[in-house]
Amino acid sequence: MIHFDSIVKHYPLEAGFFAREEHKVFAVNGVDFRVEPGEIYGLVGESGCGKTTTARLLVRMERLTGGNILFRSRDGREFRLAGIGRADLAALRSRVRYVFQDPARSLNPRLSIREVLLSGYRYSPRWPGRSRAEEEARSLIQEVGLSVGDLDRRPADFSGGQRQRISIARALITQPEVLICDEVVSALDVSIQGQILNLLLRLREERGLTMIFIAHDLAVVGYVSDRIGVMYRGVLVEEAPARTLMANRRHPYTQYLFESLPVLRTDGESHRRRGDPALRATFSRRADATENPVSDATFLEMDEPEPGHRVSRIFSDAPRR
Amino acid sequence: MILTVENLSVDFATGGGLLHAVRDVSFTLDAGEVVGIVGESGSGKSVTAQSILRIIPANGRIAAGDIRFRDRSVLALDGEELRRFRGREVAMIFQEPGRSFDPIYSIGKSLAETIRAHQPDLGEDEIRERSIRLLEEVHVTNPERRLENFPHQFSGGLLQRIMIAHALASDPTVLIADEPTTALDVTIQAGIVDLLLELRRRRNVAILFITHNLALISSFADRLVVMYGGLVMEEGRTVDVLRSPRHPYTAGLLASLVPFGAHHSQQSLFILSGAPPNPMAPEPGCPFAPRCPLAKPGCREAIPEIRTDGGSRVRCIVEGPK
Amino acid sequence: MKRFWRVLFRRPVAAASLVVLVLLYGGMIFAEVLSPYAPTTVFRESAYHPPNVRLWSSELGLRLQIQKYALVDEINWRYAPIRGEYVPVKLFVQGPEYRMWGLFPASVHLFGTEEAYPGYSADWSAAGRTYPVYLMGADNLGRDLFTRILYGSRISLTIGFIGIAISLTLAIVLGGLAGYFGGFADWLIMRVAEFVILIPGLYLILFLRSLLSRDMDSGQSFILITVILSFVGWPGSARLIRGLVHSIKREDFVINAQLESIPALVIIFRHIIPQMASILIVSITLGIPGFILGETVLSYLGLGIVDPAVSWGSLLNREVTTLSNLRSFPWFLYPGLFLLLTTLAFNFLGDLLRDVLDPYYRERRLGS
Repeated sequence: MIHFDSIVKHYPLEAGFFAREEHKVFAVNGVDFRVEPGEIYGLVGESGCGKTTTARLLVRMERLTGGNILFRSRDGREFRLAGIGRADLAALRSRVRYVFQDPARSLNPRLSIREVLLSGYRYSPRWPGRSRAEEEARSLIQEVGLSVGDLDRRPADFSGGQRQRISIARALITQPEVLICDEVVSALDVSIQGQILNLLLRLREERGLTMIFIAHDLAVVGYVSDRIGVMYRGVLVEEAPARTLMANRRHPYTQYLFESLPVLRTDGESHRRRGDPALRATFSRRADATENPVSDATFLEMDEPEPGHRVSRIFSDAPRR
Repeated sequence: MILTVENLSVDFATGGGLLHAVRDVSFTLDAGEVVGIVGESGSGKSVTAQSILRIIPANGRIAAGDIRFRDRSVLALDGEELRRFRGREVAMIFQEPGRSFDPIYSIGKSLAETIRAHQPDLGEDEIRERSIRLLEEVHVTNPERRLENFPHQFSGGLLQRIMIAHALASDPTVLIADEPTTALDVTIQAGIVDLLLELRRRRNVAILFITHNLALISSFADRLVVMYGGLVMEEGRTVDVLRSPRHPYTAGLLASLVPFGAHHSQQSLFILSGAPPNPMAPEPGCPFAPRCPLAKPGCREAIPEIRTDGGSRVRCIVEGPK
Repeated sequence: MKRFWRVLFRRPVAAASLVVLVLLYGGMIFAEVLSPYAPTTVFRESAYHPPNVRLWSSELGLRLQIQKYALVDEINWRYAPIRGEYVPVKLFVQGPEYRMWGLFPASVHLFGTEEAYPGYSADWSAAGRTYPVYLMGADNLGRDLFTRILYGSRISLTIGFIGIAISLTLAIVLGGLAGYFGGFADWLIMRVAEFVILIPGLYLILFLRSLLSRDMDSGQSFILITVILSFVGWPGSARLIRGLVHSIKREDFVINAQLESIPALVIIFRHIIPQMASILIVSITLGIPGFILGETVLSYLGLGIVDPAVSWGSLLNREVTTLSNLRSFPWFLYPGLFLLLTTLAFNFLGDLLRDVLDPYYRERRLGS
C-alpha cells in the first residue's frame, strides 16, 4: 500500500545566497491518494501538471517539500519518504522500480543487456550471487519475450519495443512490488504499444505487481488502469475507478481534458471542435507555474459523490454540465 | 493538381550501405485540399515531405521519380528559383516549434526578417503592421505586445501558432505540416488543427499533414496516404480508407488503436505481432508480409504493384476489403 | 573500425601520418638494430662530419655508398669529399655490442661498413671501429646523429603517452568528481584548475624544475619532467570532462543507475566516463604533441634530459647553440625535423579520429 499523504513539491526559481524564497515553481500542491496492493493506478494530465513529479517523489528522485509518502511493503516493512535513511532508501528502491519513457535513453548504450540487468542488481539488498543472478537474468529475458542470446547484445541492436521490454526486465530483476511506468508506451509506434501493454498486464497478473501508470494518452490509461487520478496544476482534481471515469466525468477539468482527445472518425463528418467553449476558456489559459493555485487549504478537500469517486473543489467553479 | 509526386525514391548513404528510405511513392495534392500522410517511425513519411522542399539531409539523394509543382519540376529548380519556391509556393512547419526559433531574437524581429525576405521593399512600419496582422490571423492575443517577447516566454502551442504565422508571411499555396501537434498536449492539438482548417477555408491553402496519429487526422483530411517501409500501402478518400481499409496494414493499424473507453477487464487488445521492418536489412517482397495475417507465399517474392480497388489505390495482391 | 579504414582511405594526409608514426615508433622499438652504432660511440677524428651516405646507381642497380671525406680545415672542422673514393654500405654488419631491449646480447646492426677506419683494423670486435656511416652527419665528438635520434626517440616519443596518461587520469578523476557531485567539490576543483591555468605555463615549469636539484640522473629527470608537464596539462581536460559529466549525469540511464543504488564512484567511472571515450581518444591524440614539445622546450633550455641520455630536445640543445654553428653544420636540425613530423602526424591523426568518432559527422538516421 502506498499513501501519498498531502505531498507538496516546490522548486526554487533562484539559487544562491541572495535567492528570494518566495520565487518558486509550484509543481505538486497537496496531492493525497492511496494506491492499493495489486492495482494499476493511472495518473493523467497535461505536461507540467505534476504527475511525473509525484511519481518521482516516491523513489526520491526528487525530495519532498512537504507532506509524506508512506509505503507498506508486503513483508510488513514500512517506509516513510520524508527523512528516509540511506539503507532504507536502497531497500525501498529495490521494491519500487521506475521504468522510463524512452528506453533508448534509459539504457546505457555501452553495456550489454546482461550488464544492464545485473549492474544494478549487484547493489540491491537481494543480490543472490553471480551465478544465481545470471540464471535469473536468463529466465527474465525470456519472460519479457526476448531470447537468452539477446543478453550478449547491446541496446542499439534492438527496436524500440524490444528495448522497452529490456527496461521492464531490468526493473523486474530485483523482484519489486511496485512498478512506476512513466509514459512507457508514448515513444513507441501504435502497432507496438499493444504488445507492451499486454506484457505489463500479464506481468501484473503473474507477479501480483502494483503499478503507477503515467501517460498522456487517455485511451491507453483508461484501458490498463483500475483507478485513475486526474491532475491539473499540481492538484489531484478527480479520482475514480477507470470505468466510472470513462463513463462519468464530474470535474470540469476532467471533462475538458477528455473531450479534447481526438477520436477516430470513420463517418466522414468533418472536423468540429468538441467540448464546451466556456471550459476551454477557463482551462486553456497557460497556467503560470509560479503562482500557487492552492490559496486556501480547504480547496484540497475532495467531495465523494459516490463511493470511490472523489472530486476536488478547486477549479470546480468553472461551468459544470 | 498543384503538387504531384511521381514514383519518388530517396536513398541514404549510411555506414551500413545504401538505405532505401522512400520507394516509388506517388500522390497528388489539389488546391485547397488536405492530404494526410500516415505512417509509423521509419515509414519514410517525413523524408517524402522533406523531398518536396528538397531539404533532405546531405547524405540523402533523390534516386528516381519527379516532384511537379504546377507543371514545373521541383527537381530542376536551383538557386534563386528554388529559394522562391520554398518560401512563396510551399511553406513547412515542424514538430518542435521551440527548436525552430532563435532564442535571442524577439518574435517581432524574427517575423520581420521573414517578411523582409519575401518583400524587401517594405518599410519598418509596414512590416510591423503586417506582423501584427499575421499574429492576429493565427489568433495570438495582444499581438502588439507579444511582438516584443522572446520564444521562451511562449507556450508550445503559441509557438506553433507563431511558426504558422511565419509560414503564412509569404502567402504560400501549399503548407506542409510535419507532425505539428505531436509535441503538444491534447488540449492544444485541437486548437492547432482548428487554425489550419480555418486557413484552408480562408486562403484556400492546400495542406499536406504528416502524422502518426490516425485519430487526429481522421476528422479533417480529405484523403489519406498510408505509408509503411518506405512504400505507399494505401491511398484514397479518408472515409474509404478508414471505413473499409483495402490493405491489411491499414486494417491492422486501425485495429491496434486502443479504443477510447475500452477496459482490460472486458476486452483484449488487437495485437499486430512483430516489429516494423529494419530499413538497413530490407527483405524482398512486401515489407509488411512478415507481420501480415493474410500473407501468401507470393507476397515475399516481389513488392506488389499498386492497383485500384474500390476507389482506393492499394499495394496488395489480396483483393477486397480487409 | 571499418569506418576508420574507410575514412582513412579518403584522407591521404592522415594515412601518411599513420605511416610516419608507425615508422617512427618502429624505429624507436628497434633502435639498437636499426642504428649503426651506440649513442655513445665516439669517432673523435670525425667531429662535425657531414652526412656521407649517397645513393649510387651502377650497372648492378641502386646501391648505397659512403663518400669518403678528408678534413681540410682543422680549426673550423671543414671536410671535402675525396673524388672517386667510396666505401660500400653493407647490411647486417658487426658493430658495438648491445643488449636487445636489455635482454639478449647481440652485435649485429642493420647497416654499416666493413672497411677499416684509418689507423685501425677492419674488424670491429678487435678495433672498436670501422669506417663511420653518417646518415645524418656527426656531432662534435663524431657521434652518429642518426643513431642518437633513434635513441632519443625513446624519451621523446614515450613522454607524450606517459604524460597524457598521468594528466588525463588526473583530469578524469578530478573532472569526474567535480562534474558529478557539483557543489563544493566542483567549486574547489575548478578554482584550483583555474589557478593552474592562470599561471603562465612556461614559468611554472621553470619554477618547478628549478626548485628541484639539477644534478639528477636521466631516469629521475625523465620522471620529473613528465610529472611537471602533466601537472600543468590537466586543468584544460578536467574542465572539458567536468562539463561532459555534468550533462551526461542528467541522462535517464544515469538516473536509472542512481535508482539502482549503484555507488557514485561506480556510476562516474563505469557508466559516465566510458560515454566520452571518443572525445578522450581525440584529446589523447591531440595532447601528445604538447608533451613532446614540452619536453623539447625543457631540454632545450638545459633543464631536461642531459648527457649521456638523449632526447630530441637535448640534441637540439647540445648542437644548435649558435647561428654560425647552424650555418656550418645544417644537419644538426634533423632532430627538429623529426619533431615536426611527429607533431604534425599526431595532429592529422587526431583530426581524423575526431571525424571518425564524431556522431554528427555520421550519416543521419532515417526520419519519419
